[in-house]
Amino acid sequence: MTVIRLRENTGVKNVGSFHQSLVKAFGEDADILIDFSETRRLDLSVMQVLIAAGREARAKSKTFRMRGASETVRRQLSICGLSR
Amino acid sequence: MDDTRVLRDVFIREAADILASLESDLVRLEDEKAPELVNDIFRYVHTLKGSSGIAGFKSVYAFTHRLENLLDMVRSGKLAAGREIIDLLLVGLDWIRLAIDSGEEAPGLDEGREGLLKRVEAIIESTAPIPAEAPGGDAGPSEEEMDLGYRYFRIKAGFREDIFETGTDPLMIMEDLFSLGVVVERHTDRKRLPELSAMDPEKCYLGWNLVLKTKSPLQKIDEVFMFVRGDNPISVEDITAQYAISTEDPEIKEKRIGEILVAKGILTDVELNDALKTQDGENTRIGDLVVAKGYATEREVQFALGEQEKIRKRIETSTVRVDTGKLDKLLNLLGEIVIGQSAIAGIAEELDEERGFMLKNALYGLDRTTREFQEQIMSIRMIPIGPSFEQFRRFVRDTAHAHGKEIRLEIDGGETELDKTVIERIDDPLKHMIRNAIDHGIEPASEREAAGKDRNGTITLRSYHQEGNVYIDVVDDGRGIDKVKLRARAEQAGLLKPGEEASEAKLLSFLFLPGVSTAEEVGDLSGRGVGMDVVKNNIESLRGSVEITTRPGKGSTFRIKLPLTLAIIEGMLVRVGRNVYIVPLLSIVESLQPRKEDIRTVKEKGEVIQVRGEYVSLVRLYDLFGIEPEFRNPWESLVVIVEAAGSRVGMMIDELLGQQQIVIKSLENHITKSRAVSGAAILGDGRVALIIDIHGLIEEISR
Repeated sequence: MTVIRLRENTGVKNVGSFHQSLVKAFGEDADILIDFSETRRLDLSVMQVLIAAGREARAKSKTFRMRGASETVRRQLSICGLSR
Repeated sequence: MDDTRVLRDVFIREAADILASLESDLVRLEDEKAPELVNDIFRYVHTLKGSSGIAGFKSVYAFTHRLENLLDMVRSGKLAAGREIIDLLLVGLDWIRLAIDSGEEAPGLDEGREGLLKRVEAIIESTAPIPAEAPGGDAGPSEEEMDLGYRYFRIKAGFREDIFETGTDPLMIMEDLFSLGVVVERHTDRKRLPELSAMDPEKCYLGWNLVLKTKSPLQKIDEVFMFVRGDNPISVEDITAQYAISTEDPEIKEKRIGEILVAKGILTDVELNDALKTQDGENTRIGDLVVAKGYATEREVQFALGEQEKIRKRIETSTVRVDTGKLDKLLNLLGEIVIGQSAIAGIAEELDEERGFMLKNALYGLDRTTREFQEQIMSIRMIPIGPSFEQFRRFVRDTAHAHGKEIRLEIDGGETELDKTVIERIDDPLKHMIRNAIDHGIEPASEREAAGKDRNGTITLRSYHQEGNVYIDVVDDGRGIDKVKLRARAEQAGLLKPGEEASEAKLLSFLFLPGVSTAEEVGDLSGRGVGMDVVKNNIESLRGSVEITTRPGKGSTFRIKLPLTLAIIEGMLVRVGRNVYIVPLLSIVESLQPRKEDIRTVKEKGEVIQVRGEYVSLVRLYDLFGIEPEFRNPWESLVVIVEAAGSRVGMMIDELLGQQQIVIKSLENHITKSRAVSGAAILGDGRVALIIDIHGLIEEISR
């Protein structure tokens, strides 16, 4: 299982490295877990990467999960149609 | 101007409106404790936070974020909105104002913020939780709480690919939008989003197409997108009608009643579904069913039916913001059309009878249209006085507290509209009158109780239209004006001789003279006898008037009468030599041709004219304006008696030309600095006529 831990404030300034980590993780065999436990809020750039990753996981039948989302992050995910 | 500058300017303008609304709602919250107010306040702070972040006001963003936490606790019932919290929030608003006005560069700003945040933390830590409501005492939601008034908006929001480069996070905007209501349909548009490996994560690909159910007006939705609307494909459409119920379709109608009951928390989804199941195959109304099943009371169903009707009848109000300069330009252009019409009417007079008649007839029709056009433009300039009244809530609260008094401000007729310019210039006089009412109109609580009155005083600001004018009343329920004391002060000031008769109106008019006050002590606020004269002058400069009525022990009313607009006046055209002047019709008392023996010269008064036993100063307009008249002897000329500020003067003119509606054009000191001229107008024959400012004229000649 590859665990990718997001920072307290992940946004457009550091989305590049998050994107690269995910692309790399999808190139490997392990399942992927995104850990939001230190994250206060996200921005739309991160959300887009998460949505694209979700699609990629479905296409490749890979397990892609998220954990530790705060109330704020859960609300943000829901706004972007990522409530589950 | 660069984009950041534009964003900041838009934010500064919008923040001023938000802060004014916030301030008023906070003061109301102290009295009314209404949950809707807490929600509104929370939303305002939330909007401030989001917008300040986008506009680059980092300190304001951080500060409002902390205030939002505090308000969230109030909203969730963990903290009570007591005086301490309201005080803190109001001081917090002052800090935000200072921060925004100074571009976050005012000295001491950081220290101020830290001090306030410490108070926020202290309140959160020390305030005991609100005790839960006793069970059994809940009679269900009040009609106000049940108030629906929902509208449905279809919102399509797309964003430019490079939007992140401007520091804008569309997700924050969407969070603001979602906080305004319930999203009943949502489609996140991901069509443009490439595959994970192919995407550029610093570009924006997502969009939304959703339906928001909200109580907020269209303007609120527009405000959410105010910083991005210009460059991004955003559309907001009110589709309430599509969601409204067709009366021909009883099934949909009943479902909607059910929806309303669920939305109000009267029914649960399970109860509604149960009722709908029972309804299948039966010709029973859902309202009757839920009552029969004990899920709702008859009254609650009636309320839901009423709300359903309201939704159906709701009329969309679309608004646009227009620069007042554009309206002024439009009015000026219309003025030009009127001038053109007058010129054509002049030509019609010179034509033969038949052709002249035809031309005049055609002009009558055009005249009707232009008058209506003018009224429409004027109506656009009209704005409600409510927001101006609302700003006094904080002033009354703080000033009353500073004097150990509890005074409530009541507002009546806030929807009354008057010209924007008048509203802007009436603030100071109103503030002065309110300050007077607080300082020595309303008694201290102990004195009020001893007199059998409510401990808390009330000041009412009331506005209404009557006979083509706008009236603003400043009413207090205080002790009234002591006329005996006022008379004594007037005698001291030499305005009345001991024993001299004076009507109540005359006595009260002394309050508007410099140096007259009934206050025993000179307070911080008022009592120096300075100010009411300025108030009266300010109001008269708006071509208005003010009068007082008072009842001992019951209170006083200051009634301000104002014209609907400052842009147009009814004027009397008068000729002096070859020049035409305009005298505001409202100022004219009479016109007459004096006899030679009525003209006198009185010591210290100069030349006067005797009118029915009263001496009135005579003004030779040709001298004042340095022009050549037709007549130099007053008994050969005409004299127009005019009045302002309680004084009368007689103006010598050569001829009265007739009255007409005048579109005022500002001179802005280009032609004359004389206070006797307030503006100009262009006449039908193209000549410019100066408008005489009677108030200024009287001041000028009394120097």
